[in-house]
Amino acid sequence: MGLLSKREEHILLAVGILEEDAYLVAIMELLSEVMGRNLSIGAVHIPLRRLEKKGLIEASFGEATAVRGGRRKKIYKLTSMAMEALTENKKVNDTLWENFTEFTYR
Amino acid sequence: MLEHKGVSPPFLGEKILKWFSPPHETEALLGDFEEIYLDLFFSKGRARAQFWYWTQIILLFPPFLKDSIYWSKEMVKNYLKAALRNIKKSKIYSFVNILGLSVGMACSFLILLYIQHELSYDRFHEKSDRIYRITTEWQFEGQAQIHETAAAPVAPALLNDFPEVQKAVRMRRTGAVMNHNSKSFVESRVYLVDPSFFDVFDFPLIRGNPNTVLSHLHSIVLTEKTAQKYFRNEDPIGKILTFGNRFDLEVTGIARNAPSNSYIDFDFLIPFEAINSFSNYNYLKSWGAWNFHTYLLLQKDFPPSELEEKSQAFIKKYRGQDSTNPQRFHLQPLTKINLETSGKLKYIYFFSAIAAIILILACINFMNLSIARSSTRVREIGMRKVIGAQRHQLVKQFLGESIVLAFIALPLAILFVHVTLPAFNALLKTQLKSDYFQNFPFLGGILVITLLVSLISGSYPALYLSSFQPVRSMRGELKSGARVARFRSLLVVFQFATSIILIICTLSVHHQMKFIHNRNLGFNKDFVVNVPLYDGSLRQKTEYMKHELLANPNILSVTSSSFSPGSYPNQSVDWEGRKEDEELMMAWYSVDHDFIRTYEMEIIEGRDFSKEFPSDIQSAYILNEAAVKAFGWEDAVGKGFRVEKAGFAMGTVIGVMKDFHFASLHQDIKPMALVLEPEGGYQLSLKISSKGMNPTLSFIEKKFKEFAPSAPFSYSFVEDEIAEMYMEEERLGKLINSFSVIAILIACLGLLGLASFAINQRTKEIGIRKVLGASVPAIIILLSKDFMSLVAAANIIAWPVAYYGMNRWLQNFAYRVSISWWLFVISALLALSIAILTIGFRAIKAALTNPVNSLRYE
Repeated sequence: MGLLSKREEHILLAVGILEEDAYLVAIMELLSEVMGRNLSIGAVHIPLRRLEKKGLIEASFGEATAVRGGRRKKIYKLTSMAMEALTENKKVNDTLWENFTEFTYR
Repeated sequence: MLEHKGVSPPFLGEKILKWFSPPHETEALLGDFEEIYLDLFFSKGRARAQFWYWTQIILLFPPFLKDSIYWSKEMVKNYLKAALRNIKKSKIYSFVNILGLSVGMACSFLILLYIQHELSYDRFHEKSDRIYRITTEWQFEGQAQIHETAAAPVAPALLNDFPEVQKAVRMRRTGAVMNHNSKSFVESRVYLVDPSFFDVFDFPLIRGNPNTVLSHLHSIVLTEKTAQKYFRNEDPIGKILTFGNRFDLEVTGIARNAPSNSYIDFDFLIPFEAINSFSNYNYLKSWGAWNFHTYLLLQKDFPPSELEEKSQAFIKKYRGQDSTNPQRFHLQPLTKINLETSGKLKYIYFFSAIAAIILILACINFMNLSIARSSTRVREIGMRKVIGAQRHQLVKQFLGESIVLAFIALPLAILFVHVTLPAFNALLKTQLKSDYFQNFPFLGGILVITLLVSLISGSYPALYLSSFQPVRSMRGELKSGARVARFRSLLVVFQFATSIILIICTLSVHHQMKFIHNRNLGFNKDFVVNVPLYDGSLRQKTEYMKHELLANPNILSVTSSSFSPGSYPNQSVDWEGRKEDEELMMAWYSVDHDFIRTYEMEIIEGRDFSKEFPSDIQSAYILNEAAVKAFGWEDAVGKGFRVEKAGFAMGTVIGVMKDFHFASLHQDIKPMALVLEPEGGYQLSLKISSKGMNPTLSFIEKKFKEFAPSAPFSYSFVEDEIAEMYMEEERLGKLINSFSVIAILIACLGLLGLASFAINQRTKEIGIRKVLGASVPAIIILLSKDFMSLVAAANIIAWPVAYYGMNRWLQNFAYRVSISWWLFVISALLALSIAILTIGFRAIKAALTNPVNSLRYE
């Protein structure tokens, strides 16, 4: 499997951070806050779907709440594959960053 | 978070989301949307929340599309692989399929090119959507007639009365003999036009200023092509062309050749106002001569219907309040003129129907073969289903296969088009170009056709194959029920019925054409040559020319006449015993002595024109039987009669001739009169001997060059002139002929595929039958029996349809063959023998196979 895209990486991290509360709206709000700009639902929903199909996250349904018109939340959880992929991504990222710093300061 | 108080997101938005998202996601997604919506609703208000909701839905589309493409790419790769493997595995079926499809597609591509060309007429003018031609509505005896022409003063009057009419061009197409020094040609595409011609239409000038080229009455504009023809490489500007030996015209400009898709197909342009010098008549001022095409350029957004409505008052204003005709104007859009006036609409419908039928035949082949072959793929389908393929995925897969096949057929089809285009152009007298890859509408069209074909031909197999139940199909069990078999048979019957209809049409068109060719026309058309007398002065010299020409022993008879088959002037006539209210328009020809002899016509009463009676000229008439019958005369000879034309006296009927076909066989023989007018004929007709035709023709040409050195010489055989009248039928015959060959070819391909498949299926059965003692013929009969009964059934369907169609076509002819039974027998036999040939080969091969081999094949 290839590397994750930046968006995918961010979403996976958000899912990890949010733990039990990792559903679409929460992920979207978290990312929007960190990135400092508003994301659309589609910008999160579609990558989530792809990640689920690829087997990087698993989904389960939460409880129904009145504020959502009685609809259940879809809560996401990282799989072990996600951890591997994230580690791999981080390694590549770190290596590049290290070399980049060395180069610029020399 | 806030409690929601009866607030809910837009109903329609939720509908869209539900429709859009896969079922297992819908609930959570709707919930997510609603959560934020409510949040926004209470913090920012309803409008903001609504706005957010809709923008989000719109923003959902692009990533959604990207995602679905991302995943389908993987599956498409798999489908493509499966499709290619299947094509490779069964080469014969794929070949039959692809060939059938490409032939069908090629037909439709050709027809698409043709239709595109016809629809493109005059769209190249920048203002084409604002240009209209005036047509006039006339009432005659309660019948409305539309004429395409208007009177000359109409255009200036319209410009004066209606500011919405921006420009007007009057136009008249005429023929003339053009001379330059010793060069002389007969030209038929000389146009008289107003100078505004260049403002209204987009016909660019290469030389000359569009504002001034037509400002002198004696100026002429040539196209590049004609300039080349008269002046070669000399500079044509300022050169003189002589128009019909009457006046000299100075070349003032050169225009680019008119495109082949232009209704206005000029070679020469002359100022319209020169029309008055053509005769003594003042056309420019006359509200009586409605002879001229008139084009109007209307202001933007001005509805032509408004002008049409006001036209009644307009006509009354200029022609007087009591004027009855014309009733009113209609405005015909420039871009519709070609289709509406040339009778091509009929061709377009005919072609579209043929293209559709042939495409359907090809699609049927495809369906038939895929369904027949399905048994070999049962296991694959079962396997896919067990692994978890949804039905819609299988449908997609099979549609994918048909798309692959259709796109393999596509280049082949284009190749066929390229090969047959010249023949098609020659047959239809069109100039379709072969620049397919620059022709984007055409490329779009063929892509659509290809996709359509693959969807139609793939749809039934896809639905049928995907309906197999995995458990049973894994066992190799295929319940190809009676329903499917019946459907397949129906398709074969349809294919053959179509082919048989086309065969019957081909045969009966041929039959009628042969009838026309062999019919006794009442005169002898063989070896009669017509030479037009372009130079008016020649008409006075006919007596001398006859004398000179008859010196050649191979010239048997010479006459001058205005008779050429198919065209005749109509004139009202007066006759002895006519009642006050009786009126009759009658065909008439002016002829010379010897006319009846040259054409070997027959006088049945009275006498021929004769030099012994000098008073015959312009006052003696010979009528045909139909005329005598129309007047109700017992004894015609000696009765008074007159063709009401200036110069013709009330004369007497000196003879009655047998009816002859002066018009085409489409029409009954109508009343006709011959009048003796030795200088009235515009052509010389010569009966020549069948021996030494070429020397005789060159002798005639030589003599004419002596009579009139500057006039062009041309000749035509009367026989060819007659054939000209049936050009359209001849063409139709050829077209139906080629289409029926294609239809039969496709039907045979389908039958071949089906038969081979059926025989393969029965290999074992044949082996067992042979072991038990069946003879080879018995097996062949067994194998072909089913198909033969299908072909027989096709005949029964085809006969009434073909009979009806051909009967209607034959109604066009006043003289026609009756549709005889043997046409049907022949076409039935033809279809059967083609089918036997197709199947027989495979059947014989199967019957001859050694049973040991066929029984061992598992």
